[in-house]
Amino acid sequence: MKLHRPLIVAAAIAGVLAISNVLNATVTPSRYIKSYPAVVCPSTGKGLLTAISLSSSKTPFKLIGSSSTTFKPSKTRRYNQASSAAVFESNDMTPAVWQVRSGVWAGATICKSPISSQWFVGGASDVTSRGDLLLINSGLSPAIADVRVWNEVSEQPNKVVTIAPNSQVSVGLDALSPGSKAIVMQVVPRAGRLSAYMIDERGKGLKSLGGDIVNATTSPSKDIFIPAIPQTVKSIAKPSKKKVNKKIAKPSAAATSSLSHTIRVLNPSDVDARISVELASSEGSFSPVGLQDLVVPKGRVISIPFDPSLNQGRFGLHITSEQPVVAAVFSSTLMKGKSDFIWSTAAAELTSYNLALTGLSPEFVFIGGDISLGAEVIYLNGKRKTFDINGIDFVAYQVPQNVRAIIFSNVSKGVHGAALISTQSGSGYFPLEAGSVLTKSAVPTSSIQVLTP
Amino acid sequence: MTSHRVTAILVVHDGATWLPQVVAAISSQKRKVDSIIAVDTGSEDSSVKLLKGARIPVLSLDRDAGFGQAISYAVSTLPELDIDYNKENDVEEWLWIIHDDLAPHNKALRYLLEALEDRPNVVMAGPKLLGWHDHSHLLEVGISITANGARWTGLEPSEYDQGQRDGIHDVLSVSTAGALIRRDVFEELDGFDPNLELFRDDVDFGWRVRTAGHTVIAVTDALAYHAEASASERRSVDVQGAFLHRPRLLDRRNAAYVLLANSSWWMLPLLAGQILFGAALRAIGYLFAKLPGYASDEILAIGSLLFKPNELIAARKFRKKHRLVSPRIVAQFIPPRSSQIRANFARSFDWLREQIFPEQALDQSVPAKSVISLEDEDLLEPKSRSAWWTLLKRPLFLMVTGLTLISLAWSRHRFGALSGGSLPAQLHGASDLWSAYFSGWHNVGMGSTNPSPPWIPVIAIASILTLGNVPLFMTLFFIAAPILISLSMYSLLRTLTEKRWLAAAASVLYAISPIAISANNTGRFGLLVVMGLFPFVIKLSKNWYEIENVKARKIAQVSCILGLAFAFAPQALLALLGLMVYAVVKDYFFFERNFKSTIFIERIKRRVVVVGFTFLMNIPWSLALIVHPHRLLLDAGYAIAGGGPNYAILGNPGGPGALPWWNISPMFAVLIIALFSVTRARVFAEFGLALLMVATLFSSISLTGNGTAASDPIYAGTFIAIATILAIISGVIMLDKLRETLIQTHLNFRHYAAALLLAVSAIYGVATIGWITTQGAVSPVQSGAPEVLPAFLAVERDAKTVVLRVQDKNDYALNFYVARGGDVTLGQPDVAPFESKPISEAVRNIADGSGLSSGTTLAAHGIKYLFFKSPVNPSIVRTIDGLGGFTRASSTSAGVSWKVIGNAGQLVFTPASGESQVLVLNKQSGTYSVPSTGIVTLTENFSRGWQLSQNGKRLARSRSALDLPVFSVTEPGEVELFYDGTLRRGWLSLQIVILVTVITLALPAGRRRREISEEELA
Repeated sequence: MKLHRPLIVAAAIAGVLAISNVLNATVTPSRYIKSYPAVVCPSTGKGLLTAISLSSSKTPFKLIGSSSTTFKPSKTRRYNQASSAAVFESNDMTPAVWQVRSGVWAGATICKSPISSQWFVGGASDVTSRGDLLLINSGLSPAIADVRVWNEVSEQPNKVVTIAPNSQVSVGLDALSPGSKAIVMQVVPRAGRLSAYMIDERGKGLKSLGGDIVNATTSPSKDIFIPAIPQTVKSIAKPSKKKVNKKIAKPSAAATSSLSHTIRVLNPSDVDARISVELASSEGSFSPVGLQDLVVPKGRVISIPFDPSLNQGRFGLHITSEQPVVAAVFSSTLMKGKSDFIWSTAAAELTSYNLALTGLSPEFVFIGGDISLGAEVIYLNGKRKTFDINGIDFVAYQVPQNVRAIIFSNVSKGVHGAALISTQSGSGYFPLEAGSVLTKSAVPTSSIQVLTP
Repeated sequence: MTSHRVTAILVVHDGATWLPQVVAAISSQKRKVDSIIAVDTGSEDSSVKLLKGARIPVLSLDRDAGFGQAISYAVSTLPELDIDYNKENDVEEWLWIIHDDLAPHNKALRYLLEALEDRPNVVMAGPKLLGWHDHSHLLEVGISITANGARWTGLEPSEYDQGQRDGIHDVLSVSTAGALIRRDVFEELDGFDPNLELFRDDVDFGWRVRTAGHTVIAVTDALAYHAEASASERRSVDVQGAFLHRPRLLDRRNAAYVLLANSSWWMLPLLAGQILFGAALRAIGYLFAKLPGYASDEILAIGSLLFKPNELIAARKFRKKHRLVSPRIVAQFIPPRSSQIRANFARSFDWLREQIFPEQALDQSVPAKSVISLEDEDLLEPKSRSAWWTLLKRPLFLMVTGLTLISLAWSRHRFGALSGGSLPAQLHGASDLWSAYFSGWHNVGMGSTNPSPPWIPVIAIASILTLGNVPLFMTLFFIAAPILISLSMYSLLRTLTEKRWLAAAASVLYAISPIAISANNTGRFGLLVVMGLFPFVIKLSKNWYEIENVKARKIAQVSCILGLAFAFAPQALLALLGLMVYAVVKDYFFFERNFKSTIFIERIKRRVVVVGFTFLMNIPWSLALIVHPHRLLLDAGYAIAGGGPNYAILGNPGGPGALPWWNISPMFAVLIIALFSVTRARVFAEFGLALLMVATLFSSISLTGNGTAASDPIYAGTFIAIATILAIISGVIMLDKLRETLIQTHLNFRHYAAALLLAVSAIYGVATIGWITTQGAVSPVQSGAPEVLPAFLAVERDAKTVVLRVQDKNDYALNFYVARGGDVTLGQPDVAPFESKPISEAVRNIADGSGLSSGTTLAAHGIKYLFFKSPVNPSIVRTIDGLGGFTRASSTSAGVSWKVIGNAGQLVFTPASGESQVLVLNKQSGTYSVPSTGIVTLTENFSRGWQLSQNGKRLARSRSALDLPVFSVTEPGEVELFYDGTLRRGWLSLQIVILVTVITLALPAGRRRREISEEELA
């Protein structure tokens, strides 16, 4: 009996606590809006052909410059882009873009939703340059872009470009930084829904020297991964001493010669950086001779030529730096005796995402430590095939023909990937990144508390 | 040497009580009067008989004859003044005015005449007047008049005569009681003013004597003992033209008369204003003291004078004729206003000292007679002086000093205008609070008609302390709050325990309790007020269960405090209701389910009165709570979430600014232990634990309100605060007698429990003080916070701006509200509406990128700008950039702003053609010009109060699809926009009537002077 009262008190307290916690847990959480922003695909320049790979023929789209604000279905899974840029509501599927100047060069990229800052490591604005910077305002308000340019000498004065609502502007690279052999650009939208693409096309007189789309990276980093760099080896009847770098030339390459690679690096910070390069390929991972502890001075673009002395194929680079830098690799390619070049740019860490590939059959290259990811291929006839991609340091996967899309999932940490496409018109590269990231925001709530400091 | 001939004139009016002593005192004078004459003004007692028995010649006048008239009549019966004879023989004739309640000392006349010897200018001299009963009570040493007409003696209340005022002093006047006046001057000045029948005739005469170029002195060697029978209403005084027996009326009327008749003409407007204002204030005061007779005296006195100015005009003419010097000659004798203020301060300080050091007050309040009898011994004994360090032995002093230091350290980031937590900024002064309270329309969000909470006028009144500076008041309030609530608790605990140290320690624990810390850190001023008030409620609620025995005044007092608490914290009403329901149920069973029992019904009635008064004092705000009962659970200010049930059960409300969970207060443990106590601590603990569980339950419920549509867990602060008070009471009751019990018993579980409780309390105290003075000082409420709207948006005061803000950097939640050219200020969250559906939809569409028409919707609501406060979500910024309908206006560190494209203004005119235009206010005329017929849309939330008038007629009003008021204009011309707040004013009038009634019932009744014992007066 003595314990009767304490028991009642304890039971009452426990009961109240239990009920309260149950009630507390059943409170309805905030409602959220989850959406994939629409992606913007680049326009097609004069004499170019662009094909956009979609996973569904019902993907809604609208053309930039059109007075209509409504989206219409694409009615095809391989959309031939007109001169205007296009906006696709592709949701979680990232469309790949294949652009060619028929029989001259080819380039690849992905359609992306507008982001806050884009870095372009590539292009030139010397006499050979025929490249452009495409600025697309997919919004209905004017957009203003700050274009920062660095060349081999220093940072150049900023350019401010205003783009009218629902329109696009093409600015010649030679107009942004005349006479520069190596440039790096950053496009920062000051206002507006702005997307940017860079076309690096070069020629000498009437002779084309090739071209490519320079894919953008988001921000400088101390760890840069460039997963897919094509290694082209050609036979040489008479080796020319002038063309071979004695220091890094492979002794056994007397009968063959690999085409050149150049790393372009910019250190935009305020102090010099020291970088090291590690190479990963099917032949193993190693640090190429001469690419260790290289000093990258601040504020100017540095070009570092190198020859990895590898067999025909592809390889990846991992650049580590003391300061955040941006980098890309310029590689010459040869396709049926025709010269072209390709810009292999940095790729962000691979995440689970979906890539539309209709009409394309790229080779995916993954680099990192332990590479492990799941992939699901969706064929044009709707069939699906699921498999895992595993490996260490370097893995390549050739996408079969007739694939509509591929879904990456369960990606292990530290994996970076890129796609290489080779056609008769030339080669193309794009990093494996989601063009449109799921945006989650709560339904805005009326709250007077926003008006308190 | 001049010889003096003195005629004593004794004026008698029902003075039989004092007359034997008076006659004896006159006849025993060492310097005998040369002649004596008595004037009886119709006495109805045995006065005349007594005088005749003493062989004093008596003149008789009617009962309504005034004092001055009686003197003049007596003088007129004297042999005519022979000026030539007197000059030749160097004789001066003097009149010695004696009241029938004045007993002069036997040497009084001698000393008066001696003082005149070498002072030929002196024509009027008076003795030192002492109390009739208490001869050490100093009544007067000369008199004067203050600028508001009050009689001024320059003495402290009940001043003890120790010779400190002794000497011969030049004064403005002396009392007629015992005054010695030279006969020739008296006759020259025509005696006392017949318009001044009794009071102030002395001051008036002295003033006239002074302006005639003579001197008046007070001679303190001459003593006289005065009963002040008329002033203390020991006898009735008739007043012409007013209610009978109104000495106060006469006093006030004469005071005004003297000032207005004697002052310089250019002072008259100022004096008249002062007198009127003072009379009105005093009348209000008397009404609250339930003395309507005195209140009417104040008004009638001034009214009778000002509505009959002929007397005044004649009096001023007369004075001008006899004036030799300027009336300003008396300025040196008029006490400056600072003297009155100083005197009031001194009284207040004494009162405060008595409250703080009651022992000293008791020591000093030795009965006067014993002081007199021990006077000689006192001189021989060494004075006991308290050294300053003895203050350290006083727990109250240490408590206040310690808490002051702690509070200053705690508040170091709060020296300045405060905002943050649940406290909005206070940009305005008290006048803005008043206008917000009286207004029926509030410019917050899209506009609101919600009634303002009644704590607004309370703060406006309280800010008088800081001269209407509300931000300064709030700053000082939060610094002083721990001290004030601890004093309130100390006052309660001292009624429960004799142990001052125990009471002080418990009060400190209360001031640093988790609920007090949370309230202070989050700016919950309402909760702090409740924490200060509830100890008084409990103090007044002794024997409350048997409410039928509680006096009506006490019920009104408790209702007043509860009403105030309810105004600041609506949860107080819920707690009260719960308690009342419990009491009724208990009564029901107590009376064996006999609900017809007279006492049962009487108890219910009285309980209903308490709840009813509490509720009605706060109408119309309280009525709105019936419509939206969930608001009973919301505190004043922003609705900031509490920490949930697991915090609440420990007496900690949780949430921002609260004590960390690991710092557990002993409160819960005390309540649990007290549940098993055999003392009455158990009753308090039962209520305390019940309230704590109620708080725990409420803390688990989420609510929206106070302008916030997002639901947050309820902050059950009031319940926890009351539970904390009850826990502390339980603890004090348990510990009060525990020491004695523990000493007498062997070591048992009580020893361990007490030791544990004390140790936990001490650890909690130290840890808490450490926390609040370090980490806790960085609280949500801070001073100097920057405004939300950047200057370029705030400069357009009336422009509406939708402000977007990310709620938390780590969260996706996005909030918005319509700003009106600035931040929200005090009182606005309590009336703020949720934003309308169309606006919410437009903002939602902005956020998800689908809002192509959002700009149009916002413009239709008169919204000019969209502002995304930093830190911004870049994705949403890009979305807005791309939407259309908005033009980027700026992007700064404060945030990104867009101008809404479209016709955005307060009044938008749309003609039949459909091309709308914003109407611009003509600031000179306050009107808008409408160019043609059409409709005018007001971009405010719809309310029946909004009116648009044209040519004196109100235009037809309807409600638009966007819930905005729309007016049909049938002819072009000027239109005037106004808000008709008649309904609000009506409700407020009713509230004022109820408030005055309850407060009047609650205030202690003032005593008429005739009800005060003679000993007290003495």
